[in-house]
Amino acid sequence: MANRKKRTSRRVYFLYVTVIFCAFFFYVWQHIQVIKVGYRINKLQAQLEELKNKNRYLRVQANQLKSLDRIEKIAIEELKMVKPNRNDKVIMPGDNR
Amino acid sequence: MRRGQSISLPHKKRIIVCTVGLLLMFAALIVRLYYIQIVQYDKFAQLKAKQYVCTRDIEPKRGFIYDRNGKELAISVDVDSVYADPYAFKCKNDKNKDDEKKQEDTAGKFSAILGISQAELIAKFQSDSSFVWIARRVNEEIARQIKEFNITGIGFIKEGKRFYPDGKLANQVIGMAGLDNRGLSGIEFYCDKYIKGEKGLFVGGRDALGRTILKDNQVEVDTPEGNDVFLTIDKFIQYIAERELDKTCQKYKARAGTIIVQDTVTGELLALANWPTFDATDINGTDIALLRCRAVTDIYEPGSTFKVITAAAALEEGIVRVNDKFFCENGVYKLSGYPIRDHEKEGWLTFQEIIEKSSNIGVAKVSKNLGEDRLYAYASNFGFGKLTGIQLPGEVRGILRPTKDWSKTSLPRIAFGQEVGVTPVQLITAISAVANKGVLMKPYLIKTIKDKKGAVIEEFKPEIRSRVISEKTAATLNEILKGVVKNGTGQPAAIDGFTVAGKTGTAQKIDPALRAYSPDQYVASFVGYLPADE
Repeated sequence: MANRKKRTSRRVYFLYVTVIFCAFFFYVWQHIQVIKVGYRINKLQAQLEELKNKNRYLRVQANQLKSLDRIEKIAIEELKMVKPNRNDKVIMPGDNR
Repeated sequence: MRRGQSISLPHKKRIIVCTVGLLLMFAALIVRLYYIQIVQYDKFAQLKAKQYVCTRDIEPKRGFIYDRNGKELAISVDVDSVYADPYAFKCKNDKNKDDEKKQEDTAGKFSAILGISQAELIAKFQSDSSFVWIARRVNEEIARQIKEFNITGIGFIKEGKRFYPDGKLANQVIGMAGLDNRGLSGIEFYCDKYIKGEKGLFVGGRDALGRTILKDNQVEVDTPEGNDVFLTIDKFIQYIAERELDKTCQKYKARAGTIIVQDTVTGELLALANWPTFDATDINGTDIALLRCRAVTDIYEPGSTFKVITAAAALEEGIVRVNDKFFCENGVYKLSGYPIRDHEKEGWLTFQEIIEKSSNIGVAKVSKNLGEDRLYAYASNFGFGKLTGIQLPGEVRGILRPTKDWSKTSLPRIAFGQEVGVTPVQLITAISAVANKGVLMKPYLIKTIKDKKGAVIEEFKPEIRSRVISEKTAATLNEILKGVVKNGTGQPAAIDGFTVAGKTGTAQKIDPALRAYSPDQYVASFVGYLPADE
């Protein structure tokens, strides 16, 4: 009877230790996870900022390629387009002229 | 020792001494703990924060500048600036052959890429400082090439750089921003408080390796950005204005020129071109005077274009009718001993013909009937001698002296555009009032200012300044100005398919050496509008 009681109390003691141990590990684990996620968020934010910056740079490049000066130059020099002279124009009758 | 056996006295004494010793040690520890945790709490809390909490300012990015259709005119992009840690290249005091070789090798590699002399680079590497800039805001390709060398002691810092994608387009209007992210001229300067943005604050955690980690109370994450400015300028019209101005100024070897296109009904400026221009992305060696927007900062004598104001005043006051005739003295007329000349010898001309042929003598005779006070009042009401309030820095009032300062010859001279100083923006705004049925509008360049989420921070709408002439007078003047382009001096301004109204002006420049009007230097101008039938 005494041995049984002793065994039960040992089990309870072991259970307590296990629960405390698990709780401690869970606490540590979730802290590590939070820090890991923090690092990841930081990294992603840096990437996002980099991508935003690239996007801005691409907008600059796109605008440079679309600049009217460049388009006119290509039209005249490469595509050999010419400006219409007076005889090439037909004035349409209309309001507000 | 057996149970029940008493402890001997010497043992007892030792135990007591040990116990007291331990208690004293604990007491000392508790006192120390109290001192650190309670008395010196603030100091250690600060030390901990310094080690663990990471706080830094985040430089804001300048907002964009757009044209009226949302096309980008100025964009900020982060680019690399290259710096060196001269300690990594060793100080000159303890330099040895290896250090010298490293400095020379690096300088040799960088010199070709950055366009900086080797001697200058070596001097930077030998600096006593722990940080020295090698090149600020280099382009992507240069940064990539330098990164590829992977040299210890060379680092990169991101800095915002202003890009103007259309190069020189509207650069005197847009202006430019300096290395310190501040606007220096044009809209960049005028709207600096909106565009530059507020500094952000990053508060995060820092781990043992100095890396940033997120904290619950992190204050700022995103880089703060300035507000965007939307102009009334139309990029396409601006381009055409600049192209034509460039061609014309080069053709006639002009020293400077300006073209302004304005919506006569709203007062919005659609184009504001100045010549000569500058490149805002590379101003090294640029004459600083080129940064100013001549259309608002420079004055000139308007010459015959000012006759429109005299004509408006005379018609409004009922002093003349369109068909009233004046004798134009066959080209020379002496008034108060001052000879007035016409470029053509004219006899009898109607008032309409006087404006069409731009007769100084005819206008001088009309002005005699108008009188000083009325001419001054109309010129002032049309906005001359006053700021227009345009949203650009450095605007000048022009010169319109009060009548008490006028000489005997001032009235006829001012009537045909001498002795007054106007800015091109003042003149176009005044003529727009004629096209706008006599209502003078305030000229403006900025439509809206929005934050990055698109919320409107400030909006500018058409603003009526005053009615300067009646609708009837405006209609009569409109017919006269149509005649100028159809039959008179403004014929080259005619455009097929449109009815154009306007007035030419050729004002002699003042020759500072002669202290008189130069016989061969002129300011040529035209001011007009279309469609004049609307």
